[in-house]
Amino acid sequence: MAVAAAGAGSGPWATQEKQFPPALLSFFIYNPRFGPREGEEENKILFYHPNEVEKNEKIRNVGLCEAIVQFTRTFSPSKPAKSLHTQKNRQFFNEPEEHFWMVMVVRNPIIEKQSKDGKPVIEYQEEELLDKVYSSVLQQCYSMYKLFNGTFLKAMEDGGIELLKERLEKFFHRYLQTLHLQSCDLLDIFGGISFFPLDKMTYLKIQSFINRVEESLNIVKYTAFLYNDQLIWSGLEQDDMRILYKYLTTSLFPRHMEPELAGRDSPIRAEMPGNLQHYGRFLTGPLNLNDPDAKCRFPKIFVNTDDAYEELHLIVYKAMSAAVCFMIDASIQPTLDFCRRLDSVVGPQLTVLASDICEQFNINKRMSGSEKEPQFKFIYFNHMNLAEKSTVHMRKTPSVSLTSVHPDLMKILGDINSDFTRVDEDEEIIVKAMSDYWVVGKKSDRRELYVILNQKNANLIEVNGRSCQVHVAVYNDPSEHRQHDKAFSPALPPKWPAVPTARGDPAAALLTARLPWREGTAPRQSCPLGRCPTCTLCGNSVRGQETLCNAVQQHLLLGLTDSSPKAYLKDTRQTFGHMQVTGHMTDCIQDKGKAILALKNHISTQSPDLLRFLDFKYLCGIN
Amino acid sequence: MPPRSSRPRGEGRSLQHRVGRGYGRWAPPQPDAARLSAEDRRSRGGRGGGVAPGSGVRAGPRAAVAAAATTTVRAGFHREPRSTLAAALGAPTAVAAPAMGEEDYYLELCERPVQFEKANPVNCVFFDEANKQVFAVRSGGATGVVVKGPDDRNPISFRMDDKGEVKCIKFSLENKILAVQRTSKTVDFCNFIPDNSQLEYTQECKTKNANILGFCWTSSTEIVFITDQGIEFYQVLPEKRSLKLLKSHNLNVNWYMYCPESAVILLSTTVLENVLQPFHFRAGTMSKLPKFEIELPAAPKSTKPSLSERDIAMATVYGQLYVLFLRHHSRTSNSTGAEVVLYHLPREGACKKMHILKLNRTGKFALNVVDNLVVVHHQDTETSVIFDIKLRGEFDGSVTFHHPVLPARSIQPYQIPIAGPAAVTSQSPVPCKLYSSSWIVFQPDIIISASQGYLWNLQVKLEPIVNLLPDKGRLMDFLLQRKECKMVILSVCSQMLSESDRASLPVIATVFDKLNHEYKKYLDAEQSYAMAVEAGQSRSSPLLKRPVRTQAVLDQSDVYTHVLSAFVEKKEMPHKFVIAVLMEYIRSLNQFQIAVQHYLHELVIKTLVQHNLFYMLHQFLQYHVLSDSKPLACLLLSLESFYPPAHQLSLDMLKRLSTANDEIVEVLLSKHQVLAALRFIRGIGGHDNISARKFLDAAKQTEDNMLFYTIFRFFEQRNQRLRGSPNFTPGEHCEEHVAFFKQIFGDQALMRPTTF
Repeated sequence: MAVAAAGAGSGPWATQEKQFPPALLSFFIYNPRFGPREGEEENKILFYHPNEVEKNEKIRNVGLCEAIVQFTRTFSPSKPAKSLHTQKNRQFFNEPEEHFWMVMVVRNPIIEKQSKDGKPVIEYQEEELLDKVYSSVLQQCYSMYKLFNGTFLKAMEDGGIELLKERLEKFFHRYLQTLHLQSCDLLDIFGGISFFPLDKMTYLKIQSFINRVEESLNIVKYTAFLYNDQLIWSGLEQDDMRILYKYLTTSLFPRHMEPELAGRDSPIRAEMPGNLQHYGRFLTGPLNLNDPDAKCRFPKIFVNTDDAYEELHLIVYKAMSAAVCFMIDASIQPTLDFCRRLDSVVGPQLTVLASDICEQFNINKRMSGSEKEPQFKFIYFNHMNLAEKSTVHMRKTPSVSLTSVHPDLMKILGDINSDFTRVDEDEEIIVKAMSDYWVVGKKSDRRELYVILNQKNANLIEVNGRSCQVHVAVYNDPSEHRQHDKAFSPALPPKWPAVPTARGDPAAALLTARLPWREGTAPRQSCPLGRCPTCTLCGNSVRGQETLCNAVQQHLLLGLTDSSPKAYLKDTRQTFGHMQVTGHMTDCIQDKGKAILALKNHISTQSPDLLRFLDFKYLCGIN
Repeated sequence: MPPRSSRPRGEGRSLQHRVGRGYGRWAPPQPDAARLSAEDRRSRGGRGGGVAPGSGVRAGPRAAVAAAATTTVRAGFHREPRSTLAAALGAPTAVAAPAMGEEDYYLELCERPVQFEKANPVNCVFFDEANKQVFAVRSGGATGVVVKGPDDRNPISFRMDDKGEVKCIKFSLENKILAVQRTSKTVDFCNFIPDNSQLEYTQECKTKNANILGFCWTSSTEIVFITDQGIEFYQVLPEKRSLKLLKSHNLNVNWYMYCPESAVILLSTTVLENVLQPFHFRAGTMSKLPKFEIELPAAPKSTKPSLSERDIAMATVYGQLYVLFLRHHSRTSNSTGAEVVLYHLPREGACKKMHILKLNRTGKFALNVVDNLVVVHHQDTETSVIFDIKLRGEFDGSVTFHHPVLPARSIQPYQIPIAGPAAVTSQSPVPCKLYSSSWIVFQPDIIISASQGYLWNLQVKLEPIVNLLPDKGRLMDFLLQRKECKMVILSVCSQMLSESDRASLPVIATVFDKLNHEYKKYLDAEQSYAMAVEAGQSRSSPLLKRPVRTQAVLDQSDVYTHVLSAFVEKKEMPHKFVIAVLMEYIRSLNQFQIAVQHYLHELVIKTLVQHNLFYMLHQFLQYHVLSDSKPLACLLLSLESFYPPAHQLSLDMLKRLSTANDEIVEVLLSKHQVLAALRFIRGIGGHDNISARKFLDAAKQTEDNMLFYTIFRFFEQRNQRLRGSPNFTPGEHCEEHVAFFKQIFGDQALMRPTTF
């Protein structure tokens, strides 16, 4: 698995050397106050992974960390050591609550070379790992724990060390398996939120929807609204939303992709009731509302732990690509009746809203018009609202974080970021990387922008000019985009070299199609960054579907009907009159053979792992 | 010509036959003859009358009451004209009804009715629908004629010779010429124009053997005679004291009806009287409109169905002319009650049945049209209902069925002071009998009680309706069509946002949408008018009119001033609700593409800030829900100490505005971001015009020598480029900075002039 993951990122650059990515060696949590006396050291340890490690070694490792922290504290009382670099591994220390220490030990990446006599030589790459990335990962571990369990202190108050240990064990046992240290990068430092670009009117409609639902289901305390895994509205405060967003997009949503992709006959699908009125369903809580024994258990989350310390039930409800999180006070136990009411209130509205958003998004995309592909990749982050976007990353799931650039470039990005952290001033860093790649980092007004350019024989001035355009494009508002677009287009070189573009790489196109230009604002006017590429799923013939997900859903809708595909299409058109079901969709239905081919081609080129969920025969009604 | 003699005429019933036309009376169901009162029977007997030869002028009191049931109300009575005037102008004759249940009455009689001499044997009272004037003719005019209109409080009084019983008397428009019908063949005229002879002149109807049913003035000098054999359209030439026939048309006429607002005369023809022939008059022309037939309800075989004049009314509703037909409950059919059928009579094209108003009751009815509402009075229950044909009804493909907008209510009780020559103010008022059988109604909104000597305008009170119509959406639809609706609508809005009567958000949204729909319609009309004026079409097209702003147009400042600003101040309101309401209003405005005023945005920001909801505010700004403006940017800037990201939001907004570059520089300099300010101003190409001193001051304040050096050098280079020398000019007032620079970096660090 490790090799596969590394291969995904470094395929084109792979050499004959064997590479092993960084891996988690151990992870432990201790509190020195719990076993201050000799012989009681074991009591300090609250959690240790891997558990199989012999007791004395655990004690030794914890003791070492304690010593290092104590030692470095003498030099810098307020900022003790954050990490320890060794040849083979790197240790990261974090004290999230007073006297509670979390330590993560990561093995350095290894290159196994064949020496001249054929014997493998192992070489640790000591400088590969970025402190900031893994420190952030460690902090995220705590935040995630806190989201679902509250603070360590709270557990101590509730049930002493035993309860805390139990909670830690229960949480981290599973959570650590989802850490994919080999694919951690700059985005983990940011921990940003991707906002969905939307026009004002649709946004106000969503506002109105949320307000109405909160009014009619008055036990709902907070609401968050996401579309396409991108945030549109959060009633939670920024920090809480940040970690909840992380959970939703990297854990909950990917897990629930699968039933959507499954055919009706699949066991997962069978649990879900066929609801003809709307496409809403619970992602947390009861699967089948018609089952009187259905359990209405929702995950509990803890927010505002600094002051109000609120404990909430997290209800996630989804219709098509729109997902809404309803948070209700934990003291109120949601009943099945409540769930049914929520389903009947929210389901139909959300279904309509989801198709509205989809339609509006496509209109905006069409208005932005251009088919021009981005000729560079960038990562953008705004510290103020945590808005992030990346054309570098292809997909963010717990299992794979695909980047379309070489890991070395990613490392340069990380380095630049570390440089930025050192000073408060706005600055700009330009790095010449290998094989005609240039990396430009800009920091201004609490925003960071990283651009990867590829231009043969480019000089510094050219690169600077180009990155300025990106800078302008990303920072400025849509109304200025147009001017700059015109102003800058002639300056673009006639032939821009082949960074894997969206055209060349369908998956990339798909991903970039989903990335907003500005945090949360609609690309009403064209954008000089290459505009929003339209979905290449069906060679632009599918309208009303902006992502692979949606496309698959569209096709899956076919699977839900008992009527003939043609009749179904008619029904769909009636129900979703505003959703344009044309082109490819019609082709699919009129020509069954072609449909299979087309669909297979798309899916297989874009995401092989989606393929297995699709029962093509069923979908297309062919025996 | 059908034998008219087959109908009961007035012959031999001297008191009734003068009754002109009976449609204003309570219209009872026709087959239900048993229910007719003696008066009704009398007045029915006179239907289609006015042609019978007049006999006794001195009619008995009962006759006067009966006569009051007609257009030409007559009776005789002696009284000083001034006393009538005094009563009309004097103490307010209408006294508000007792407070109890007052909120419930949504119809009222106007406070200042026109008061006239009661009809009595010597005083004949006539009403002219065109000028809305009441004529009190004493002794055939010999002892005086008093004319009172609703608007002019100064009655016209004159005398004329008693040349026989007056059948009908009417002024032309603008009171220029008086026309008096005394015989069934002729109409007499008298000029009221100064400098014109006041001698009477006479016109006989042209058609031989025809009897004049009546006449109508269509302008100040044009008159139409309606005879039982057709109509004759004349122009009156007051100077020559003669008339000129403009046009005539022959057909058998049973009865006629005139709608002065639209200048349309409706003639009833055929035996069943149910074929109606409309004529339209305009500026000397008479045009015949397509005739149409009123479907009569099935009647028992014993009685012959026919269309009664009293069951028909004509009125303008929402700018369109309608013929209203009161179709009585028929025993044979299984309908649940009487109904009013509205036939739309367009300027061009055929008349079409459009609306049916379901009354769900039987008995005697009368119709009024007030503020585009059809009011149906029901005498038996002494209540009235109103219908609004613009409200949604049940459409069956051709006709829309309407039900009463509100539950039936009586007209608000009305009290009149005790009348009489010796009326004293101290006398306590007596309640007025409402729905009296002596009432006569005229279109659109007139109710006359001839026996009491009052003419009222019927009015709709909107406030009570607010509580009678629970469906807020329907209430808004209703109110927005009314004339005097503004304050009522605003109070409805305030009420639905109040703690006790709080409406749900979808309802609030519906109300806002309806308000803004009207608002947008007005804005669009205004805009297209402005464009047309700009294009210079105003002269070429006389039809182009500046759109009228009705009370239904409630703009943002109205809603802000009367509703939202007070609502936001309420402490007890949950802030979630307050914000939801504000957003709902903004959403509604956006939905109708109305630019949102900045004070609404400020209201949102104020509320959010008050409750520390900065992250919400941030998200709203991020999605441009709150539009960019300089005041907003400044407001944000002031919030920086509470919420640091507000600084970035503010700067972004200023940048987007692109008219606020100076402000941006100031903000950056105040933050000691001198380089950033310089970069910004260079980025927009304004660095040649900026004040060096300002930047050097700011750089010096940072106490960062290297920064000062950089800035200093930048300006030296600028001087070099612009003036060929790096030195500052005295006008720039930078001596202090040059000295400072020398002191730190030495003389040799100053840039040397480069020579080319």
